[in-house]
Amino acid sequence: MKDLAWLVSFYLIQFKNKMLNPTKENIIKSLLVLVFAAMFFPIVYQLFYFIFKHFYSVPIVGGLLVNKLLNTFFLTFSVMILLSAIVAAIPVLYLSHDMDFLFSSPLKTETIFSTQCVKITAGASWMIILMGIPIFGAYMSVLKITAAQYLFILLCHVPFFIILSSAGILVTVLLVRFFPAENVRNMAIALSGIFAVILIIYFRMLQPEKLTGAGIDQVSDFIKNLRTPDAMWMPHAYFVNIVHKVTAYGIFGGLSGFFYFMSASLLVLSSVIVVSKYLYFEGYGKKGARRKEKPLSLSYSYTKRFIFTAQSLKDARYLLRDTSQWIQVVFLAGIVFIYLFNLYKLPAELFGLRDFIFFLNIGFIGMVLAAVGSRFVLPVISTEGKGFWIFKTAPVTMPRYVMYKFLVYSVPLILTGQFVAIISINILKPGEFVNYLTMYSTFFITLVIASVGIGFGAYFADFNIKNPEDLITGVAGLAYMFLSFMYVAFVLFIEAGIVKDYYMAQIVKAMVFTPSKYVFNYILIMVSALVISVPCLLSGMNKLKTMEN
Amino acid sequence: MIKLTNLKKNYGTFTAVKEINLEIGKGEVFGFLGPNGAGKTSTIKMMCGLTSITSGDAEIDGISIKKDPVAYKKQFALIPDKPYIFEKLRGIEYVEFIGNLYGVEKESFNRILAKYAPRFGVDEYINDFIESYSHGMSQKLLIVASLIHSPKVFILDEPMVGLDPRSMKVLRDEFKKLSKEGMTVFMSTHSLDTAEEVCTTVGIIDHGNILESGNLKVIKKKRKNKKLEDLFFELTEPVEK
Repeated sequence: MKDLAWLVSFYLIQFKNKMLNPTKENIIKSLLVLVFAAMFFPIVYQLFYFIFKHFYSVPIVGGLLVNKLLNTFFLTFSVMILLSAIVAAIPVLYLSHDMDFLFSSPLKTETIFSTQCVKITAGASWMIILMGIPIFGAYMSVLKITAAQYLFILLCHVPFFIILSSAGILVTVLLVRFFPAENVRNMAIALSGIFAVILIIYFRMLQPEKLTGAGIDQVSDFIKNLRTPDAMWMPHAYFVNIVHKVTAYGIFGGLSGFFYFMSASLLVLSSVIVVSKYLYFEGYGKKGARRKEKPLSLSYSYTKRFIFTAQSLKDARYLLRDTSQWIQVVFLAGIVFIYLFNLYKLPAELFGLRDFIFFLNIGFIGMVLAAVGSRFVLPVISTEGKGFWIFKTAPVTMPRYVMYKFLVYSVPLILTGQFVAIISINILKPGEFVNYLTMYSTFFITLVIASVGIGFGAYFADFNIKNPEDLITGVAGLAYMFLSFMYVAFVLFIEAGIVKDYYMAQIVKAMVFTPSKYVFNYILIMVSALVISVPCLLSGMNKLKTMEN
Repeated sequence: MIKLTNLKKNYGTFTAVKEINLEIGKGEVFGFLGPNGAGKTSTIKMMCGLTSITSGDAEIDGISIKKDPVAYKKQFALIPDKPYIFEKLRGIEYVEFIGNLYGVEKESFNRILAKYAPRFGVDEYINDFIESYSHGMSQKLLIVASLIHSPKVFILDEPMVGLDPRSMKVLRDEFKKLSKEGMTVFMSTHSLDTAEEVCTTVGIIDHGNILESGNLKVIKKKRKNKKLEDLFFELTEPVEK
């Protein structure tokens, strides 16, 4: 116990020092979190207030519907905590610089492990409790429960968190016993991302918009579709059951449930600590061990490639091997899917305005592609990292290097743009002229996005960034987004008159629409794309040429 | 083979390298010596195009870095002090990438790889991911990859740091062999023993000035056959105020 107290104080001192001596970066981050929380809390509160109120207004089954909804949410939270615990456990238990020091100190492995479990649980659950505060705040307002009941419900989260993060820690300890720590972490990150995307797509496919003005039958059908396992031994089901009891019978109604829940969570945690006694230290010893590949084969033969191909191959390998990168591909594919699904589900009465909607669609496609570009094009030069010296010392000029990057990234971006445009054409089926106009505009929008991304990415290149988000959220990201959106807006502005005339000609039969009348507008779109793209690329090339390494 | 003419580097108002002049012949192993902050790395960075040259010029085999940087860069290979390489690649993929970057032909690539990979023990782990390498393993992979395009000049910044004793010996022996084959080696090092053992010529730099340079034997003779270590301390001794 004395050891545990010492270890806890060791971390508390670190925490205190961090709080009392914040870096400029930490202050900015904290302020951003506060701003985000100030916006996030009222939105979540209002959303859930609306949902709970709507559901409780359904006669007879209202309470059941709310329980079902809570079940679904807390099952989702369970998976999130489980995966977050695995992601958080790897650095805390295996990769942290503290661990070598702690293992060399006269502390028991169980003591070290228990302290780290607290850190992991806190790290894996804080987001959920932040979600819980406004959700149950709305619950409190709608059901008119007391503040004490509300606080008790928040307290009930503790055993829920302990059980799930303990399970996550146990899975981690078992996996690292057999696989390298870094691989386990990458796998967990990948699973979290895929789970989140599947979840978003699943909820979208349920078409919650059908609930607007829906009757009891539709609402019931919707809830029935939210099929979730709810056996009482499952932590989320037990938690929702306690919430139900506290709501119906007051704190005393849920007290025994909470006692059992807390006891069970401590039992699970103790079991994990006991098991870890046999597994953790051994896993720690081989944390960095990797599968040894075969030595250089005598039959190995080199393939000579053009620099462009070699660079594309290197970048593709990086993309595929860096989980944090390709998980973003899954996310963005999810966004594109939902966007196209929304178009598909457009109310039939709006189809009369399909040409107009399709015109706006050009802008939406531009925005989606700008988001894709911000993640995949803008940071590509900075992500060469400290290995950039290889290009600076190689017989490749910086203009050539930038052009290679531009070609490697603009082609897939242009193809993605055309793909989204073609799919939306097939969904909305506007007139032939608008089809061509969309594809033409999308081509130049993607061209601008790619060149601004590469140009600004080179101009603001920072080879010390730890992850691409640092560049996206900085000046480079803002400048890129601003210029990309400005061009999209400019294209819409130039085309507005054309689409209006085309649309009028469809309605007023006396009007004749002649596409060739607008040649100047088409040329203006092309020329303005070049006027933006070329200087951006050139400034990036010049900056890299003179950049000190 | 290497010619530095009035090479100067300013960082703002601070002058890191003060118009130095050096000439290193073909097949020489040149030891670039100096205390920390003397201007060694800045000189190497200018020679390799990693930083701009304030004034002066660097030439390899008569080709100026200022006039024809691409042709100039084809002729040398650099091993920096910190071996940052693309860690998501396997060792063999990195060497292939470098081969492609320098336009190396298949026959030449296979021959050089088969020669140097076993010599530095890189063949044992060349199919592993670079992120799993230790500092020394990365350093050795870099050395093999740098030799893949048969450079005329080999520039190394503290090459012995992180190498195990066997690899250090292999590298020292290799310097001798390569110089016999006509390759010029330009090596910055803090290890005076290494410099004494392998270098044919040395240059001692301090506060951005070359204090002494030339054939090691001649310098020693001129300085009453003092050991390189004594000579180094004598030349770079801090001036007492």
